[in-house]
Amino acid sequence: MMNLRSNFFKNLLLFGLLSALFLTSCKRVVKTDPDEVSSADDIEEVSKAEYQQMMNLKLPLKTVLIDQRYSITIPENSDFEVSKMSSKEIILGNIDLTKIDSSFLNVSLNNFFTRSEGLYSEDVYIVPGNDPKQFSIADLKASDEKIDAVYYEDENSIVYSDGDTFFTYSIQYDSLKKCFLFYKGEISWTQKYPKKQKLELSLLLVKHAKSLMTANYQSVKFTSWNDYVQHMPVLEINWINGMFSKIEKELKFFLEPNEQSSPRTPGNYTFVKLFRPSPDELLSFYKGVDQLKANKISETDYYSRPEILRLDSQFSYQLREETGCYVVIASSKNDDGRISIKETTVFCPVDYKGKTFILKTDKDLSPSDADFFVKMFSYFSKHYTLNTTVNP
Amino acid sequence: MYRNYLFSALFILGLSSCNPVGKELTVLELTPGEIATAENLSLKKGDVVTIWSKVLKSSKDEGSAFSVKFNIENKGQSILFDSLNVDAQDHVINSEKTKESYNQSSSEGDSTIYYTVHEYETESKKFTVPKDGKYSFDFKLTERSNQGSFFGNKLSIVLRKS
Repeated sequence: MMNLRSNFFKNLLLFGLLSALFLTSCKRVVKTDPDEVSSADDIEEVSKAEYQQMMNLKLPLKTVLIDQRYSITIPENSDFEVSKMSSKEIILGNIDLTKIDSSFLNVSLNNFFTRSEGLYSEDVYIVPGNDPKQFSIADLKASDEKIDAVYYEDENSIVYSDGDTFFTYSIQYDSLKKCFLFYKGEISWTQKYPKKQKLELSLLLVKHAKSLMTANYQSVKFTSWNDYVQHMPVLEINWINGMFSKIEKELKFFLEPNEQSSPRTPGNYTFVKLFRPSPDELLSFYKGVDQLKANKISETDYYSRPEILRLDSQFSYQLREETGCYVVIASSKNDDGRISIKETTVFCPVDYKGKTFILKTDKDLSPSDADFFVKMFSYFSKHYTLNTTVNP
Repeated sequence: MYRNYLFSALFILGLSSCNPVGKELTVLELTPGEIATAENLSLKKGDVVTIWSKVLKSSKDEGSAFSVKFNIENKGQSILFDSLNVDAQDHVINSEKTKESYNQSSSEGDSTIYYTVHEYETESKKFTVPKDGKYSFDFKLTERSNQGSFFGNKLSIVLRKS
């Protein structure tokens, strides 16, 4: 009886010990990867070196005439829309422009990143005024309830945040035209990017603001995708690379004959389409190119319209060939002869391991966007990736 | 005596497998035509990653034919490209059927339509990690037929490590 009891206790002890051993082994310690811990997001201000580096960038610029009176200098790949403002409530920081008697102009600058994706916005306000000291950055900051942190400030510009929204403002006075040029750049809190990247972009917007009144500038042309990448903020580079990593995988693995793919952007828009055309589709693409070259558009019936390059005799076309890409600008005219629509599409055939693909821009682009895509597509067609660190 | 030990050992072994299907690494919801990626998963040589397809089917919607292809990469190099057997029924877990209904109005009056929603996970593939490192898993769901649509049905991928 004693023996049985001691055996039972022995077994129980053993059972208990082994259970404890196994149960504790279920818990695993999760190690955090040091790469993934961000230490860069506690930045308090922009250093002089960072500022200077940005100001030293040589960007392609163009000077445009606004309302036939004012000339401003903007990035070459931007286009603009002008609207007259009077009653609309425009508040720049703490300056209420609605209190100004005269009407003023709003020039909104657009590029590929601002147009549909809304990565950021850029506006210039041209406000007439006789007193150059009427507005200052100090006025802008007067009540600090909307300013959480100031990252950069000089006599005519400022970068600050209000929550996760980053603002870039500058106030410049044109003594010749007797007007103020207010610049407002904004990166919304809805754009979930690291603070460091938002700040770098804000600083680039300071550069844009400070270029507005530049009259004599060196003409710069970007000649390759690498040129673009070296002058682009990290936020934009990552955005493009994130999209192209999908395009790259479609090209290398996923896309099957007769398929097409158009990855959705973070803002749920389309951006670039990759086709893997059938021999017939490829043939009809080149037929379309030949029609454009000969400037003779033959109408096809609705059901047999080719998918990739769809031409319509109601439009007039311009074709440009550049580093393996085709730039097609379609324009249509109103009855009074004015151009009503002007759409730019960039195409680029990509040969990968004996298979032919075609890259196509999938948004209505403005002609000023074309070069950006030509350089991008051309790089991709040679290296099958946009990762420039692999192919510098 | 030994039988007692054996019994205890087996019992404990049973208890010790507190997570019989492995530890969940990530869940990816698939959208037709889009590549979904689980990036930079740190894995050790010999780890077995099981790809589970989590399916939600509704008897209300006609299911469409689709395929799922996947690609596993290490250091930018593809080490496995294959397709998944989403319909495999050998190892099904977390299966749950629920009855749902909606109201339909017609000229003959209102009626309630009942339908079944079946949610389950099925083991689709096993991958044994060849060496220590960071791995990316890409999945793409492609619809194969024009009839019916994927709408109403859902497909997610669950990666588990054991």
